[in-house]
Amino acid sequence: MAAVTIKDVWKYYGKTLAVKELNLEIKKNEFMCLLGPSGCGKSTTLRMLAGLEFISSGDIHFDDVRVNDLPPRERDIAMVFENYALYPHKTVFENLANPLKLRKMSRSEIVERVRRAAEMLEISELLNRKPGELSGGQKQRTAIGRAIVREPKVFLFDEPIAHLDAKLRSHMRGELKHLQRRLETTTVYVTHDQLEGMSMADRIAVMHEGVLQQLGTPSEIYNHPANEFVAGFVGEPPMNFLDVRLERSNEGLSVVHPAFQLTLTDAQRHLLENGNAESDTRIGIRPDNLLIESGDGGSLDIAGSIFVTEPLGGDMLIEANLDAETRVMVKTKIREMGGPGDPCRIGFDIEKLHVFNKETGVAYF
Amino acid sequence: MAADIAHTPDEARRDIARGARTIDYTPNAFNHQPARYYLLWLMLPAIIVLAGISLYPFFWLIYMSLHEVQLAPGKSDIWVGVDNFLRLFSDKKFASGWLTLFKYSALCLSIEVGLGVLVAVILNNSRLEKVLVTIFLMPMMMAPMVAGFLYMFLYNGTFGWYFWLLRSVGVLEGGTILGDRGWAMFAVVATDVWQWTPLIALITLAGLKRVPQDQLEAHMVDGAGEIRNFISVTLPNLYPFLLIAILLRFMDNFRFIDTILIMTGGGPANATKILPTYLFDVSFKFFELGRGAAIAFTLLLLTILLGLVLTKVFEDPARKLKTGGGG
Repeated sequence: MAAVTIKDVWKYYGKTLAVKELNLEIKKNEFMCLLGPSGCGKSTTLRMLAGLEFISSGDIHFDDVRVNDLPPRERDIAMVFENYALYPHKTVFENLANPLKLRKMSRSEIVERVRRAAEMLEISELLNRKPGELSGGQKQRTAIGRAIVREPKVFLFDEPIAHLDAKLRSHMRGELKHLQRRLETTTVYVTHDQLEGMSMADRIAVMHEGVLQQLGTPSEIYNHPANEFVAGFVGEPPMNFLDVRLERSNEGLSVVHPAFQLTLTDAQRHLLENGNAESDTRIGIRPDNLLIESGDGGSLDIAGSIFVTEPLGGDMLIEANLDAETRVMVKTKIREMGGPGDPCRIGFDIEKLHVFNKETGVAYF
Repeated sequence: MAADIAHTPDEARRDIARGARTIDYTPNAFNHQPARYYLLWLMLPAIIVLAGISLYPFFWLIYMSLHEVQLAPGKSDIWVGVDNFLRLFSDKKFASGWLTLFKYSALCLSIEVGLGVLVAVILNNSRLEKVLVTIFLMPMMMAPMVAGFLYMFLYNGTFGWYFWLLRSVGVLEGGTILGDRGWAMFAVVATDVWQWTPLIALITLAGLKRVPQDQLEAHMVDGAGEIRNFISVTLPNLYPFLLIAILLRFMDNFRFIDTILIMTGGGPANATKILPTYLFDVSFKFFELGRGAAIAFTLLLLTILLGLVLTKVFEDPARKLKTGGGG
């Protein structure tokens, strides 16, 4: 159990930049998620923590110890790999015992620890099997077991549940989170699935093209994205983005789009004025924060037409045209919405609106 | 509908005419048994050729081993039963031939495998890998006979470079390399090692490329160092490749006598007379073809037996599992 400090870390592969000036402090016992699309540098960062990649420049500390030059075995970490990386010629028991054996633990201690870990992960009855005889979920539990037997300072997870089927994945999300709380071990978890980050992590670090985009709790990341990338990457279905103009009117500051006009709140106006926002901006609104009514007689502001509806059981996703060029995604509780081409009315939950700088993508709010 | 499956286009058309919306149509040709005979006919030429070059000599070998083969024209072979085999039991040269063969083969194999794996590990991922592999392959391309001559000259007691080297360093006190009972064996082993280590290195190199990177990394995270990593992860993954390499080399050692015949002819004082060279002497110097056939037969039998044992010992642990052998 250690705090992890990543300070000014850069990583180059030859001339290719993989991680750029990364600064990250992971607190003791924290569940930190590195989130980003593939190639964003999150796995590279994890591998630098593990000691599997050299650090081009910068420092990584575990508590007060600088670990830059320590080989993996001296870092006291445990890692779960994307493809499980189990030893095919060893039984589940031997797989779990391997890290203990390499640390010269006594036989009785090894047996006891493996027994405890296997019980925790409910794989006790599989101990004599070999990885070839296990299902994906069982392999994954074995890989996690190999990580937890040793009670290391830091857990490193590299997309550990990416290859499981959807149902098992959602089950393992809960289990992993529970396990981490119970073991109270600092954890760094790499994933490209924003759902995993949102549901498990204490804090999320969103990365893109080697650069840390935003660091915050899941709710901060979701409700106050720092820029357009984070806003678009987190949340399913993704946020709607629309190019608009800011215009002053008698009521205050308005967002003007060919299809509609919205008056911003006073608080929002202040934020935009303090940020010296230019008049050409981009707004973002999550599908959950759009309101929709069928027919054209409703009370909502904007008239549109339905492009397609996707019922999901409890919810329904509706893609609606505001005008010839503008289409938005709306998420609503299921109800009869009519079919493609039918008229509808759409409204904005103005409090949940996000405004971004069109050039830099940085969020004003 | 689904009354019966249509086998001909006509039947299919009949079904459509009846108003079938989907057609179960399986052309008869695919159901016909004769397809199997057809394949047999295709393979027959190859089978005949194979039988001609391997089965016929094999049975002829057994025939010869049971007869006293007569070379003079017109005389017919004399049936002697298992006499040729029984005589081998009291043949001291036969026993010492086996012993020398095992010694030679064990020396060659252990040095070649050790060195080959070492070379492969060093070559793997080195910057000069491609260039060096090409260079390393050259000895392998050489005809064994040429290699034999090359080394005979290198060992030569007048102008041989190795001879000069060993004499200068002082390890070889008197006589020549190939003329010394102790040195001759190492000299022929060295030739074999020089020529065939590259093959083992090449096969191992191919194996090294297949070692799963994530297992190596997991093992490092588990707490292993480089050497430990090699022993517990790399080596088990190399098993199937090493098996092939060792099998190939072991069988070659039991068969190839070109270099030894050229360099020492089995001498000095039978120090390098491995069984195949003795077999050569008996059959083609003394022309006792029956006795030679008996020796050849024991050689064949033991080669097959040892091959099977090797396969069993080196069986890929992962594959053993898949075939349901392990628990």
